[in-house]
Amino acid sequence: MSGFGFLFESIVNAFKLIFSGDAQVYSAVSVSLQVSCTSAVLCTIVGVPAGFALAVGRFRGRQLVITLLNTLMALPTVVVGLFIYAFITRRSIIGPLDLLFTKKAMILGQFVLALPIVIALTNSAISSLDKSVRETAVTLGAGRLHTSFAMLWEGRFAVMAAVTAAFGRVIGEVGISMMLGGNIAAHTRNITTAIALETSKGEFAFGMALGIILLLIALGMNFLLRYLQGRGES
Amino acid sequence: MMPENAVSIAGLKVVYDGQSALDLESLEFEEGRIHILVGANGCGKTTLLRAVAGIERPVSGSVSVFGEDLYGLSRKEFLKAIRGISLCFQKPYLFNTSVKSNIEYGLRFRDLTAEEKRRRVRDAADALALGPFLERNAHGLSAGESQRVSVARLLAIRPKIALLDEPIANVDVSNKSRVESAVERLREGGSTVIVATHHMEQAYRLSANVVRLEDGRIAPPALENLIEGEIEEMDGLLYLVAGGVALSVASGKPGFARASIEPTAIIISSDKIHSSARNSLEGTVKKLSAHGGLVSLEVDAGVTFTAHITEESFNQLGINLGSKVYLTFKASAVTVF
Repeated sequence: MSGFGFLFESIVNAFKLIFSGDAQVYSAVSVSLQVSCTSAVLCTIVGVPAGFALAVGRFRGRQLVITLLNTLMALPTVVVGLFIYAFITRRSIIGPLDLLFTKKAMILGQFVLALPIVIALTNSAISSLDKSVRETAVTLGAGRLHTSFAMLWEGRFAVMAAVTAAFGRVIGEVGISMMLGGNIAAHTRNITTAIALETSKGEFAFGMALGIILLLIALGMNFLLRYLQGRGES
Repeated sequence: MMPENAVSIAGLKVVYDGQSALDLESLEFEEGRIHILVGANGCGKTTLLRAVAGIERPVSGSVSVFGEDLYGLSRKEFLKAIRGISLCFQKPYLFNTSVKSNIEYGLRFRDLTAEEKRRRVRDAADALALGPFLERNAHGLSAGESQRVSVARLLAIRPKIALLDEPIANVDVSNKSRVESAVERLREGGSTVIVATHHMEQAYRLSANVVRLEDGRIAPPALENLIEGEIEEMDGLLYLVAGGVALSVASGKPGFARASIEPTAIIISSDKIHSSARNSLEGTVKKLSAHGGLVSLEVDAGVTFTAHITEESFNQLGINLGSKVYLTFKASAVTVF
């Protein structure tokens, strides 16, 4: 079979797997969405206020923190996996919690991976706001809390982009999922670890089906963001 | 009862990048009136408004609002104090939401019923002709429309102290009078209003309480011989009637008006002169002062006028304190605002 023929057949089989509702494919998709959505939500809850505080706060070492966060944005996933592994392995301090090779461990790893992205990009979003946003809110009678809400509201599209970037990073990572999840079928096997495993076994169509779904999820997220931004500008 | 000062400034200094932006020894703004700050760009008008609004911390001096030193208050008291002050910026920022939400934003922090909030938004929008824009996103408005929304926000809030920085800067001709009426409405509603403008005509249309700033300091008044009175039409001619004196004017509409006469446009003579000038008044010299080759005379002619004449003319006429003189000036020399 020619190279193109193989590719064409794989794509056709990939779509067959997607439309037939293959249990293994959708189990991996389900794990990916559960783990990555949870870690992205947790990152938003912690990272957005932290990024906001970093943008409006003036303290010693602020620039150092920003530089550190920018560095952490490019953190290799296997390094995060390695560190978290060291913390949750059965011989470590929190070993008795029995987190290793669970979805919780994957969520924790992805949380650590994406948090610097959300904090750094939220800081950048709020810092780039016109200073008159804050001053307008203050001179119209808003207290500290409402002024903060006004600033977040005005920077909401950039903050949403930060969360989208973080979600994109975690849903596509493989190192953390492999090291902390263990790639256990129907339990911790997600899209990326399934692609790695099945492709190595020669199940190219299976890997491609998951790859297509991964791309569609990323595309969907970005379409949603564009739609919301468009609505905000109309 | 003496009216209270809404804002009292003492020894106020604001510095930007090591350069003095404002240096005011003393300045007071009486409660319940419209006050105007005039001056060229960069003279310190905006800085003064920002300092009064609580968003420009001075390096020294005080800004007292109803007797309380704003920058000497605790954080909690400061926030409470500035809640009564609102500033309409020269380049207003409108939140990325509807015009309606922008107008009602400040009302969220005031203890008002939902019905009262709706009424205030509607009234403010009507006053600034913003009704057709209420549901539109504020970021799609022109600069002039944005400025009207910004004024409407103040009108809805009705702050104790309303500060407006160049409120008609970008407003089209047809809406300028709406903005000026809104300023008057703020005063009628009990606000002390301070407006910064570089439009001299607008300044005197709004109020006679004009403070001129120059290089961050208070400068002598921009206008002398400022007269407030009623314009009346008699025999097809217009007269400004003030203090028992009727001055012929070249333009204006019947009703209350302010006008000024350039001191150098007034001819001083010891006898009545017959000329094309329509205004000729007899008065008594009350005060004399000399500066820069000119003599300044204050003459009481029912209304006090200031006239400037050269030292040579002064010596020729032999004027002394208490001398009777005639003041002659054209109707067109009276600028009606």
